[in-house]
Amino acid sequence: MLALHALMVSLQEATRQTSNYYLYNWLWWLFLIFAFFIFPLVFGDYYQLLRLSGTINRLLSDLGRVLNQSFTSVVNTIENIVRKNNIQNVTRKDIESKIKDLIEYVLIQPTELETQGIVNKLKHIITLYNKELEDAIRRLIPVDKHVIQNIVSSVEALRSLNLIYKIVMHYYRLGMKYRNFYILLQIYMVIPQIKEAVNAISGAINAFIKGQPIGDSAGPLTAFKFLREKCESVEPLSHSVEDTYIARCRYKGRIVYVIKALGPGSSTGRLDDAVTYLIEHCGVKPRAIITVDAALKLEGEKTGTITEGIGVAIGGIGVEKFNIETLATKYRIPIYAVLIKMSMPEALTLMTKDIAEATNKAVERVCKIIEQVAKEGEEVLFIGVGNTIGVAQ
Amino acid sequence: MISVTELYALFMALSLSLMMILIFVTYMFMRKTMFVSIETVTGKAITVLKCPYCSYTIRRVFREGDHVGAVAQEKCPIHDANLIVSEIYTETPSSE
Repeated sequence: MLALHALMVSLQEATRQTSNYYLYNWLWWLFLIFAFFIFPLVFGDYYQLLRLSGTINRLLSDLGRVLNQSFTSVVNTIENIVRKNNIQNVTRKDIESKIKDLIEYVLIQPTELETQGIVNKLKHIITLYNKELEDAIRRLIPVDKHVIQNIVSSVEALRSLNLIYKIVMHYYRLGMKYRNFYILLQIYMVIPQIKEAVNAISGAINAFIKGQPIGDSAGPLTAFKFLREKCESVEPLSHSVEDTYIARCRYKGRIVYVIKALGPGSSTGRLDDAVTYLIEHCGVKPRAIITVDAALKLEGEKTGTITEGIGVAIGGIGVEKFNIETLATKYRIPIYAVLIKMSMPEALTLMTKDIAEATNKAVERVCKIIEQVAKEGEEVLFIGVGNTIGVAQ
Repeated sequence: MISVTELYALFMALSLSLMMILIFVTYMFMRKTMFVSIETVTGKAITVLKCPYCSYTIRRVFREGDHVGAVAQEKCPIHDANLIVSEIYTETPSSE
């Protein structure tokens, strides 16, 4: 600091010696003061607004492009199905108009003013919402259920993309309307997360259209491998639980009930109803309930890492988790969880090799837990949690 | 002894360097988010077929209609049984 001060003093002294130097020096100081003090103070907010609006504008145009591409690929897929199945009186315009309507379809959550019975209300609304979406697509293209389920999931993903686009647009317009860069800053701060989510959702649409397993299918794939590779005398049970597969098999003398969503269409099944059916209607007395599910990893964790724990490993809104926890508590059944770690984009896009290989390890872990908690002749419930797209039984 | 011109030039060089550093730091900070682009992740899907009676396994490119558990057209050379689709995945490396 002293050295700098000495430099400044000597410079000022020196520049005083000649008028030219004095003028240049004065101008230079004026420029510096303007550049580093006046400009940031007076035009700082406006500069930030310009910078942020430019970035968000670019993000919006990218989002719009991805949304249009995804919309077109869903419409093209439905058009191909219409052509292949020779469905009459359905034009491209009809398909586009129906998909646009479904994208804007809303699910209104039940009121939280009175929380008693809210889980059942939520379940009722979600079941109805899924049924309505399926019926709407079925009316357009009356084809196999698994094809309809895949289209419904694609439309759901499109809906999420559309929602992201609308939220970003809302904040952008609001920020520009009030010339307030703090409003834009809220979007700017989460641009990396928005980008990751949009990449994942657009990848999910591709997988749903083609009927390929996604990362979240790791749970159902584990159940499939357990049934095919480890079990003897597999016997599918007939029941009234929709979109759900229940099978009874024997593993080293233990009776294992395997529950998963009914594939290969995109569905997560009604796992809680299946558990209720087995325990309360069939009188099954399980020594343990084991759930296998995909879990979001933290940055730095390796994809495909297997983690064991206690509790019900089911994501989503929490209705199924609540119901299974309630049943397990009522009958004092131990609940074990096996988690397969992956990132959010990996969970939503085509399954990676690491995750497919991790399901083999998950099967081994499940076998180990069954051997530890149940003796020969005792019963265990094993639930493969997740979207079963591309995975049959 | 340093002359006035040299002093002045030194001062200007210092100021300009400081400004350039500031511009560079701002650019480095901004470029991550400013030049954000959204790319659709597309990986080539591989279907793994397995014999239901032995460990014979083959891999091929995913075809429309493939799903885990489906019976494929390909046969096991040892058991002459139709192979079963056991896995479908992409070999795109996972993010760390």
